[in-house]
Amino acid sequence: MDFIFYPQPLANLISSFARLPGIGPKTAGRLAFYLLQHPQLAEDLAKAISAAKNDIRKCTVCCNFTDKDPCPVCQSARRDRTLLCVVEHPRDVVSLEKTGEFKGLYHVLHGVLSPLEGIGPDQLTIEKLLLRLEGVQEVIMALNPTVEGEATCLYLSKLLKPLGLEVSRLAHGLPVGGDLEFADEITIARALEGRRII
Amino acid sequence: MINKLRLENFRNYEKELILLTTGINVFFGLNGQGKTNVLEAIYYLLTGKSYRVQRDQELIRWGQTNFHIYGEFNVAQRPIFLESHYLNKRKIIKINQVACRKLSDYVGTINVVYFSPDDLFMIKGGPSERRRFLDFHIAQRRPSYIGLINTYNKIIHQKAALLKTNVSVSLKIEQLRLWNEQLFIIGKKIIMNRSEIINRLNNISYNIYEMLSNQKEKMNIGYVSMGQEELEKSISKFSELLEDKIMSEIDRQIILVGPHRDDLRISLDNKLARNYASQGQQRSLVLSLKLAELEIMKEEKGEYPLLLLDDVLSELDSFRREYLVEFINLSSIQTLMTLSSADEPQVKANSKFKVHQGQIRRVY
Repeated sequence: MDFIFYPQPLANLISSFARLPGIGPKTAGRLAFYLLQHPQLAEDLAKAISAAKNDIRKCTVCCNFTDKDPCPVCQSARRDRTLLCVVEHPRDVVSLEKTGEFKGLYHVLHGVLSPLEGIGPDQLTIEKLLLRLEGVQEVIMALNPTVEGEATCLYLSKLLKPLGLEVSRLAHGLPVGGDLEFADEITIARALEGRRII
Repeated sequence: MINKLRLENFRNYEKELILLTTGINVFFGLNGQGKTNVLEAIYYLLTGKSYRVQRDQELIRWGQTNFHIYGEFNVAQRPIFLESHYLNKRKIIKINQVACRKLSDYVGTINVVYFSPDDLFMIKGGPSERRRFLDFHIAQRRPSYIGLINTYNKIIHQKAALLKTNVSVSLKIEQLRLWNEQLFIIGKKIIMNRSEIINRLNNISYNIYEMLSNQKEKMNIGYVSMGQEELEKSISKFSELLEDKIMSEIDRQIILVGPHRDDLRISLDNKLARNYASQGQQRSLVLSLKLAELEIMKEEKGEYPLLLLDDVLSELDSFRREYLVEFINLSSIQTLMTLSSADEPQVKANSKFKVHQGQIRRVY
C-alpha cells in the first residue's frame, strides 16, 4: 500500500521490481531508491535490459537463449551430434557446460509438465525436439528429481523409445564430496535404493 | 523417560514445574483444571504438533503472546533436553540447546504413544482417522516415510489438477498414465509399509486384547487396500484399477484409486467393530492397538516409548482397569495418566499429582 505515497513513475518502478521472482515489496523499494540515487547505473541497467530483451531469442534448434541463431553450441563442429541432453531451464545448460564433461548437444524444454501451473506437453518445446532427432543415438534426461521432472521424463521416454533411441537419465543419490551425515533421509533412502555393486 | 517438565504460559498454566517419576504418574482433579494440558504439552514437545488443535496460537495462555515448554529426558541412559518455544508467531525447537530446522530432525528423537478419547474415532470415524494413526506410527519409526507421503500428495495434487484441465480426453488419458505410473511406484511403497506394520500390530494387539478381556473376546485387524486384504492381491489390483478407472476418474474429476483411499479394518469376534463394539469394547480395542504400538517400538529401539493416557480408565470395567495398570507396572513403562476425580484415586502408581486451577501439587 506504500506506493500510493510515491510519485507515479517511482510507484511503477517499485511494482515492476516486485513482480520479479525472489523480490518482495521491501526489496523492490530499496532497489528503486538506489537507482534514483545512481543515475548512471539506472541508465546502464535500462540499456542492458532492453538490449537483452531485443537481442536474445530462443535458438531455433535447441531453444536455449542465444544472440546468434542457431546458437554456438548447435553450430559447433566439435560437439557430438549423436548425444542429446534434455534440460528444463537454460540455467541447467550452464551447469552442465561448467563440468566440461558433456560434449553432446542440448535441448531446453523451458519447464516441466505441471498441470497445477497449467503446463502440458504443448507448453514445452517437445515438438521442436522431435524435429531434430536425425543422427541422435542417445537422449539423456537431465531433469530435476521432482515428481514433475519425473513425469516429464516418462512422457519423453514414451515418445522417444519407440523411435529406436536410447533414453537415459541422470543418477540420483548422494552429492559428491558431501557428507553422509548432512544428507536428508529421503536422499539417503534413494541412494540406498540405487546402490551399485563395486 | 521424562524427568522434568516446565511449562510457561501454555494453556492454563502460568508457570509450573513438574518432577516426574518412573512407572505410573497419575494426574487427577475435576474437569477443566488442566490435566490433559500436561499430556498435550509433552506430546507437542515430542512431535511438534498438538493432538487437539491445528493452530499453535491456540495453545497460548489467555492474554499472553508466547509459550515455552521445556523437558528433561533420559534416552538410553543419556540426558536429552528438549525445548519448544512459541515466540512472535514462530516456533523454535531446540534439542540440547541447538535449534532444529525441520520436523524430521526431531520427530523420533523420543518416541511417544498417546491415547486420547478422540482416538475412539479410529473405530467410529472414517478411514482417514485410521490412516493417520498408521502414517504417524510409521513416520515415528522411519522418518523417510514422511518424504514418501509428501511425494505421494504432490502427485495426487498434480493428477487432480490434470483431471480438471480442458484438454481432449485422449490427451488426458495419455497424461494421466504418466502420473499413474509414479502414483503406482510411490503408492506401492506406502501400501507395503502400512501392510507390514498392520501385520505386526495385529499379532501383538490380538494377544493384548485377549488378556484385557479375560480370554473372552478376540480382536483382529487387517489392511484393506483396493478392496483386498492380501498384499499381493492389493498390489496387482492397484495397477489394474489405475488403468480401469481412468474413464470414471475423468468423468467424476476425482482420484478414485490409490492408498489415499485405503482403510484399516478393526474387527471384534470377526464382526466389524464400528457397527458392533460397545463403548468399553471400543476403548479396549484402541487401547490394545496403542499398547501394540508401544511393544513394536520397544522391540525396535530397545526401550519403551513414553505412554500418555488421557482419561483411559473411564468406561473400562474393573477387570480391564486392573489388567491395564498391572501390564504397565509389570513392564515398568513410564506412563502419564489423567483421571477425573476430586480425591486421590486408588491406582497403583509411583506418584500422584492433584491438578487444580492450573496448579499441580504432588500428593503421593
